[in-house]
Amino acid sequence: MKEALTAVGRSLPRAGLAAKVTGEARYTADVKLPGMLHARLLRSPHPHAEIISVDTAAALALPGVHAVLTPFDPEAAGRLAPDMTILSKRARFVGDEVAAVAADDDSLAEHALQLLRVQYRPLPFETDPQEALRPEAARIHPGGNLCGGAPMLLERGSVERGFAEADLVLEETYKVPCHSAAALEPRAALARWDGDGLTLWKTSRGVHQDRSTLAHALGLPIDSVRVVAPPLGAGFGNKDESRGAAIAALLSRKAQRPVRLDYSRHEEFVAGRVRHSAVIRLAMGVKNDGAITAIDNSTLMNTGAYLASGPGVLRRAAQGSLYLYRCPNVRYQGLLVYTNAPVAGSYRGLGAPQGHFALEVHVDRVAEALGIDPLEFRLMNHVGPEGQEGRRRSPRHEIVDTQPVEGGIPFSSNGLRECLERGAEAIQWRGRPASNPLRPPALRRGTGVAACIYRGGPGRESTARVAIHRSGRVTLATGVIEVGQGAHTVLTQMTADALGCRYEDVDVVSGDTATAPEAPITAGSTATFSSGLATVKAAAKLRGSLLDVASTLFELPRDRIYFNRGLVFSKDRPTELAALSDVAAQMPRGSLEAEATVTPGSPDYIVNSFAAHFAEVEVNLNTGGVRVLRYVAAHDSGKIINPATAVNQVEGGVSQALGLALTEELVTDPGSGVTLNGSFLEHKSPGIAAYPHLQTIFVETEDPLGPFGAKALGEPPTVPVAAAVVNALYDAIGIRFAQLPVTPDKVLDALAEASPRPRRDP
Amino acid sequence: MSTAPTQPFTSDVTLTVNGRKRTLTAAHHWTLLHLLREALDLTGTKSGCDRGECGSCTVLLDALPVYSCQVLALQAGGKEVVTIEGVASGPGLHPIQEAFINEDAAQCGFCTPGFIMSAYALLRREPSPTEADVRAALSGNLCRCNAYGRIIQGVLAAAKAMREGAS
Amino acid sequence: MIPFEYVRPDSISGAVSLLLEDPEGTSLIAGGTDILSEVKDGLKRPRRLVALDGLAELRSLDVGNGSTRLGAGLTLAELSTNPRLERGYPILTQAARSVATPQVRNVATLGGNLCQRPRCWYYRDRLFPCYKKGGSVCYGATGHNRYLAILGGGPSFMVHPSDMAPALIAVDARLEAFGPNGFRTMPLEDFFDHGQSRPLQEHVLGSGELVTAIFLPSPPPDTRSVYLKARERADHDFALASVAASITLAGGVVAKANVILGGVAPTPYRARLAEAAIVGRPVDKLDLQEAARLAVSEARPLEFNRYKVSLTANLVGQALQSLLTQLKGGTSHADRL
Repeated sequence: MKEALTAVGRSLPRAGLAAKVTGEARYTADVKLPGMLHARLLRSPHPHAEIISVDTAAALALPGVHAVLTPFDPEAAGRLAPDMTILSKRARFVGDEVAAVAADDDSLAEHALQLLRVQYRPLPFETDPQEALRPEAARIHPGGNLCGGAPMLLERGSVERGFAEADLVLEETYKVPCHSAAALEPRAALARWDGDGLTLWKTSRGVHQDRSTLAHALGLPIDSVRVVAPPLGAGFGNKDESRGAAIAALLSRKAQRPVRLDYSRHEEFVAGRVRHSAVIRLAMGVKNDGAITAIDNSTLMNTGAYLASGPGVLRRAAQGSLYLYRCPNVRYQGLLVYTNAPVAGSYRGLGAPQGHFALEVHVDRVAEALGIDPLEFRLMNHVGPEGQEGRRRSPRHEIVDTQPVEGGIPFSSNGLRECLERGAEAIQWRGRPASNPLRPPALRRGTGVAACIYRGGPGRESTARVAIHRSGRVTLATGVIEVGQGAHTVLTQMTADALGCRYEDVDVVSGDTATAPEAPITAGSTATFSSGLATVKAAAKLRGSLLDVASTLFELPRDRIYFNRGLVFSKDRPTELAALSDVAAQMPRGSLEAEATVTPGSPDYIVNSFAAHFAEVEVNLNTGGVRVLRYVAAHDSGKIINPATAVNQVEGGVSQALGLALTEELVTDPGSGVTLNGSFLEHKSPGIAAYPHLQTIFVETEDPLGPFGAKALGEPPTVPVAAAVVNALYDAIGIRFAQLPVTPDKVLDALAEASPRPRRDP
Repeated sequence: MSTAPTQPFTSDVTLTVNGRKRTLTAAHHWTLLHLLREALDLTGTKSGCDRGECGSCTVLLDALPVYSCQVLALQAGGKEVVTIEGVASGPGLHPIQEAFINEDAAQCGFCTPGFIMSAYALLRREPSPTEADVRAALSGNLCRCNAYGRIIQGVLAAAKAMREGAS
Repeated sequence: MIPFEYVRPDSISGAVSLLLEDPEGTSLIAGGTDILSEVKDGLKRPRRLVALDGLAELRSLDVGNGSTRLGAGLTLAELSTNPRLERGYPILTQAARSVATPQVRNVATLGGNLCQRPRCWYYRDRLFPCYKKGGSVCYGATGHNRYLAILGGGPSFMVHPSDMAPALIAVDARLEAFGPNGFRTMPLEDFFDHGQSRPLQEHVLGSGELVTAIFLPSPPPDTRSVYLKARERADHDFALASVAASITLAGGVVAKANVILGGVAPTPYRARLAEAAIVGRPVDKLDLQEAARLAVSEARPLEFNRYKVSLTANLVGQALQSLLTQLKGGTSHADRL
């Protein structure tokens, strides 16, 4: 099959782009139905309060207002998650949903909100996770503020023993703020009832998960709910929740009209999902020769008012410390804490950017203390293809799904060393100037490195259906949502080569529970790997059935025939026998279809992606401003299915994460619990002006388990960025920042404290 | 603080949209974005922030790129509006649109119409832009997928294609 | 957005009459970039918006011999691309180009830029009944004050967000206003006021008055000016601090200096001590570091904005250095921030 690839590995145009450049593509907020009403949400002005009553009379009396939903409506008690109902009589953060209105237009709905009379009983509140752990702290949920009631403990060997063996132990605390994914498209949901059947169009990252959540919350049989996902204006891990959709559904049922709810940008920032802020205490023990003897990581994460995907994020924050470096003794203690702050959830990289920021800055600190070059220290210590030393403890037949803790399990592929070597070469690490020779005296330059390991790839069970029709057109039905990352493009390429048709002949059916097969949500960088495997398997099955048809048609043995680029070949003739569509036209039925379900992963190997990033920065000592001049991102994500979209993915991920490193922070006022800067202007995401010169390198290890050798790529580009930049800053001005983002105030304050010394000056 | 009138003020407004003269009854508080998306169903112009901070609603107003969310519909009276739907002159694609596809100058595509409008305004004014010109002209558009590198390439490629097409 | 009535007068007299009809319930709209955000965010709820964008009286740009008149309705894009203005007053072009984004500059007007409201996070959130909204508390004084005033603060610690204002003051601009009593002019510097009497605005205009024009005197020979703006994000950001400086030499001696700071005080702030340190001194005997230090010697930073003191001093030093280099005939890269 390998020599016959005509789609995989090529930069074919991104699926669906033509409709997006013309404006034809309709996103959720572009969908309109006859008689549709517009909904708005009333949000709590209190960080923590009991809702005593909601008087809706004045709002309902306003002409053009058709429905009001409050926590006192019994159906609003439907459960969306163990700690969240559709509406609640307890508001848990400033911005928590309190009530909703549906009216003829948006401005009427807004007016009606102001006529709702809500009686609140304010309660004591917590915005700081450390404070929220005090025994006397305000209780945000019945089970207490420590999620799960106990720390997450992951351990290999004994850190006490490791520290005892160490020649040097360094400890430091690192802080990563909360910031917002802020996808450009705000959340939206449109609900329509047909009798007892409900159709919901929504911004979604998984229509099947949304359907089961919504059916459960609304008390409906799953078959009577259909969820449709129009094109998504990006998710970055967000948009996996359904509260807005459930509210739209209940308003719609009350009003007996379709209802659309569009979030405002401010609501997106305050009531969307943010990255968990983290306080990470890291201690590392090393021998004088550079060997790492112990890594001890204590992480405190703020999940805000609701749990969302917190436990998964907390676990991902451990990955780097547990596995990036060879070390027999590691310990991770993770605390996930409720506060009366915006809800943290999934955001690209989950906890890994936080964890890697601490780890990779700390590694530089340790290397310096030992007098070892940061790159050489990493080359000495990074985990190799064999994985961590030690004995496997998990059962031998079990698929290695999450990042394991114990040693003794090799990687399916591991190109980390080559990432470090080739990235270093590209940034000219070893030839970089030993001092800081710069023209204007107020400017300093420096270079930094950081690496990462990322458990993407295998996800839950995944299904794909591939069909060929008499016309020769092929349809791929997949549950994977195109969130903008290019999933449909790579799955189409895989279908084409696994079946032998042309890329242009494949249509994707997706994003609708009525037509698409079950798939896990598009998260954790699983689309290419898991759905890819299901797609390849289904397409190969279909190829088998088509070979039967062709064999009869051409009176040739099945194994002498193959398909390529939509043509049928005999292995005994140089020219094609026919077009695949000719075979399709002879099919006994209208179409042939094959379905495959896979449980991705293997009991024998860990499937991980790797990267090494290198940043060159310039610091302005006058203004505290930091510019990233040059950036090299070297990635092992296995075989690259589409180089163009993959490069775009890496470049975008790096630039997005530069926001975390340098500019973005969502600030909640401790005094009032109000989130203060929920706007694009004040939550300063990177624009085009600061976009650096960026070079992407793919170390194409062909992974033996991945579809066509591919591994995950979506999230890793965001993971090492902050550390690479912060390490470069140290190189430039000799200041080691332990708190993100490194804004001019932090640079100037640090410069005022320690007069700058060009670090590598003689 | 006053209470809002139940019946909003309305006026007729005449403007040219994508070359076609339209007269509509608009509420005074409607933004141009609202008029385009709701009254004319031109939903290619997106609403990303409604505060003039993201650029996804960018249209041309008398040949200048503006945030249609921060212009009142009545302020556009008598003026000429071009939206993403009016960029291509015929049934085919405009060279900028083609270049955005060929250079993969998008990911989720939500910001794309706004970027194309800013690029369209730039290339009408400056057929041979430098990379710095492109960055400056697009500095009012946010792409949260951060596909900036590809977008810069897309606009430069479009400029080249348009120059070659014109000569 | 909550509905309002939009009215388009056909003259500035018509606009004044409309303002006087219902002063509390009427707001002016020119480019609309600030007022519409305020209305959408629920900070203001006007019954009526009076449009200025159709008024030809506000749209003229006359570069004359003795002085230049800039209509208040000119857009920032028009100011930043006018070649004659750029030749005469490059500092204004620099300032105009540093504002917001191309889309904003295509509609935002000169008058609107001078009259814009604070960007303070507490002001911009309707949940805080702050001093600038008519309340009695400046939440920023003890709250998140990283972007707030280090100079001249109290009772409000807002910073004036305008880029045009410091640049215009640095070239001795005068402001023309029109109201019920006709036209009046004043030094632009005197236009700004965050005095206790009228916390709902940052200027001295009375009821029914509006800004109609800016007058610029011709700069004396041997005058150079520069605008430097430090910000966190390279595109679309307000100033952390900005400096507009101009120096006039006569016979090798600094005859006149304007050092105006933006983004650090509730109004554009004249650094008098810095000016005094250089005026009257021979150009080759200037102690720029000392002038920079004096520019912020009266600073009283809040809990989280101490960095602004050194930032502002550094910018002043850099701006003055740039002017000296220019006056000596060299090119300067001081505007590289």
